[in-house]
Amino acid sequence: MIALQRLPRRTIVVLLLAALTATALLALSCGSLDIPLSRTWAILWQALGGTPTVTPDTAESIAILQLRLPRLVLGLLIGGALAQAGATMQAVFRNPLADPGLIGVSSGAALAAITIIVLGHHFAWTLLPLRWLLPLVSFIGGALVTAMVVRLASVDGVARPSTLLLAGLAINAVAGAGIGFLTQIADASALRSLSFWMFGSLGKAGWSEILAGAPLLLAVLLWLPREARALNALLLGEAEAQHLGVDVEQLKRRVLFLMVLAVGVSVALAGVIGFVGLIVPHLIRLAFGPDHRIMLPASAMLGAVLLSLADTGARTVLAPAELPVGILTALIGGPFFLALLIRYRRSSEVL
Amino acid sequence: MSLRADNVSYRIGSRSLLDQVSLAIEPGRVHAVLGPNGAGKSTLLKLLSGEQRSTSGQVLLEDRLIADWPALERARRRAVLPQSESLSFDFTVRQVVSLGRMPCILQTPARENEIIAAALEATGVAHLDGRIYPTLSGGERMRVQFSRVLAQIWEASAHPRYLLLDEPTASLDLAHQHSCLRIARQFAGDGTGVLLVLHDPNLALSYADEVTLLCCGQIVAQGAPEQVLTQQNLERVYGVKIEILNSANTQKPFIAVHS
Repeated sequence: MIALQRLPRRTIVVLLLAALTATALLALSCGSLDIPLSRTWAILWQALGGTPTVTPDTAESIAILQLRLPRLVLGLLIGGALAQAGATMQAVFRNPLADPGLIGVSSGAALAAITIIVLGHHFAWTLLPLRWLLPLVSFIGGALVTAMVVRLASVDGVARPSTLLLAGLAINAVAGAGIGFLTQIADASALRSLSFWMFGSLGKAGWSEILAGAPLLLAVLLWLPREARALNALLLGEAEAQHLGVDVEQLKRRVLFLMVLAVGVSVALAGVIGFVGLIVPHLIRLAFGPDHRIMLPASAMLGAVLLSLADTGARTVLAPAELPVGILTALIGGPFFLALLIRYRRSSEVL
Repeated sequence: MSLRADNVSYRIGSRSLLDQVSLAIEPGRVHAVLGPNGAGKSTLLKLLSGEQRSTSGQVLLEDRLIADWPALERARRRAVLPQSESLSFDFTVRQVVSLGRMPCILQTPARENEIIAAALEATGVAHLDGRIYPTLSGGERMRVQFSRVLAQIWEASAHPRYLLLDEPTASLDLAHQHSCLRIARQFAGDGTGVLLVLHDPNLALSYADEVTLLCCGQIVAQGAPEQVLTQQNLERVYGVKIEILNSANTQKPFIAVHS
């Protein structure tokens, strides 16, 4: 793995971009209806206003442009944003096991969103369309949990890892109970939306929801890497970062805001998709080291690739039925987390 | 020109950690702070570095309140070596040292590499350069951190620089203790103001121009090392039997503790 750390930055970017392109083509052509790459290409080309040599089939065209393309876009953005959100949280708490899902940020956001879905029709939607209201409410839910955890786990400015994880445990339990309660009182149509939140899926959001959330996710993806140098300093310790000229309080507020934004919008669009923020930064760190200037962009790209691949898998294994992608990420992520526990179990700084 | 504390006190609740302490670090001089555990040495260093705010009194860097300095400007003028470190992420030694260059006005990449190499060389960790930091021993980590701190203020500039070292010798072997303090001395020779928190009075006698002896948050004595580190002062502060030996070879007094 050390050999990968020596790769020039440009090579890393080219490699990841190649993986990204391959994933995108795979995701568009695979599914319950397998479409050859040449026709996939033709459909995209036609959608962009070109005149392809083969005339695409209408059913295939709909499958790609109306069903698979929005999922792909969503998968790439959410995968990237969740991976960066995880990396950011790990830097802020200086702990490679910190993850927005484990700490309860995602379930806080989900509980808030579900509250709106179940109880919301008693209020007027008219104030704000649901595609705006849901991300906003999820963001607030996530932000409340984050503020609480930061306060709870910090003793003299140092976040205790065990407190952090235990706080997450408690918050996840409470949110789970809240969600369970809401499913009991939900009506049938709300219940269908709920089952999707429970596991996370990229298949429910249409173009209008995606277009509402995408700019926010893109903003996070582009902004976080700008904080890379300061986050590097933060890994040394809060006092050390301050001595190096970083305004630590402001930095933490800024990046935690962006982290919650990424998680909140992702949850609003696709429900709770766990472990992406844990696995991806860890793999990138193993391969390229912890320097955030490489870590953040590389995590974004690998996160995008992995989530889209997982979604393609989720669409195809049980085709024509579909597996929620969150089940797949949890299946991979749970054992991965256990492996990390074994690796770090002797480290008093991490556990 | 100085980094100084004017009558600073620091309280947590009703407990007083520092009481009316004044001290000045001047460019070109080495100022050592000694005292028993819990005397307030590290607290004083944290106030001087701007990490914590005094409950009363003020800390001034070049006659301007330390808290009023923009973080980056302050970081270009003073570097701080904390007492302990905890870095569990797999940075290489070189990456850790290059973090020290963060606040600096960056030079050409070639010059930056030179500075980092020189800082690694200075503390004798150049051979560890590609090693993964968390795999190093305690003493090696300390020297890498020291190297990082030196890199931060490596280059002379129009304004004076200050170096605050909190027990830099704590985890070092005998030889490295001396080489560490020799570096501090060299920086002072180039015009840097140095503050050392030390435990060994003999090191203070050899390397400091001025000593402050603290006990229970108060200054017991302050001034030239030989005048502060007297038998009477040390016995009173540490409660052990002290004998001051005069070595014919070095012309310097040597402090011995009787068990």
